Amino acid sequence: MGQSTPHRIYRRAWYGNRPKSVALRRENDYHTDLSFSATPPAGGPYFVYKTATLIREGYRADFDGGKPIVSHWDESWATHDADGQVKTYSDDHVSVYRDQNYWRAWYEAEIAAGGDGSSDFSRRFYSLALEYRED
Amino acid sequence: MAQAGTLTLAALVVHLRARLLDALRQPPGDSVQAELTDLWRMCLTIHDLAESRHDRAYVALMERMIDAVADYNTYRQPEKTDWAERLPSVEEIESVA
Repeated sequence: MGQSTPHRIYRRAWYGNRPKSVALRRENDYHTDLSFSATPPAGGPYFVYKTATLIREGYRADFDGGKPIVSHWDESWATHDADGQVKTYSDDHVSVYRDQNYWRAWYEAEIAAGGDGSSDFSRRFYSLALEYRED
Repeated sequence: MAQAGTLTLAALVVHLRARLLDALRQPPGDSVQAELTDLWRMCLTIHDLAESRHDRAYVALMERMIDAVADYNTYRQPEKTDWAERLPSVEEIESVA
C-alpha cells in the first residue's frame, strides 16, 4: 500500500451491480491491474472498496496516477498509438493487483467461465466491496 | 445489412460507435465525460438486452465499446489512443446483424 493510497477506492460499475464489473476478464488487465480511482466517478453507479480489506485479502492497492503503465509479466511499457510515447495512468488512478500466480489463476478461471464474472475468483472479489452506490 | 427506412439494432450500434469515436478522440473534460457516460449507459442497455437473449455476438461487440470507455478513463492523454482500432468496425457490427 503506497503512502498516499486513500482508505477507500472506487470502481465504476461498468456492467452494473454484478461480478462482471470487477472481474479480471480482459487481457489488458491481466498484464497490468484492475483499475480503481481515488475519487468516486461522476455520473454513474460505482463500487466502494476499503483499501484495508483488499490488503487483508492479499491484494496490493497502489495510488499510481501519472505513473507509466507497465506489464507485470515482461515489464514492457505501454505506449501511445499516436506518438509512441509512454502511456501513463490518469491522475487519480489506483491499481489493484496481487501476485503473478494468483493473477494468472484468476484470469484463466475467468476466461474458462466465459468472461462474464462467474468464476469463483470474480465472485469472491465482488463480495469484498464495501458498497454499491448509484449516485 | 440495414435497409433504407428500417431502423435496426445494427444501425443503432453503428450510430453509437460513431458518437463514441468522436468523444473518445477528445481530450478529457466535463462535457466529454458527460457524453461518454451517456453513451456507456446506452451500450450497457444493449449489452444487457443481448445477454438476456443469449446473443453472444452482440455481447462481445458491446463489451468492446464499454471497455473502450473504461480505458479512456484509465489513461492520461487518452486522445492519443487509436480508438478506431479498439472499437468494432462498422463491417464487424453489420456482419453480426
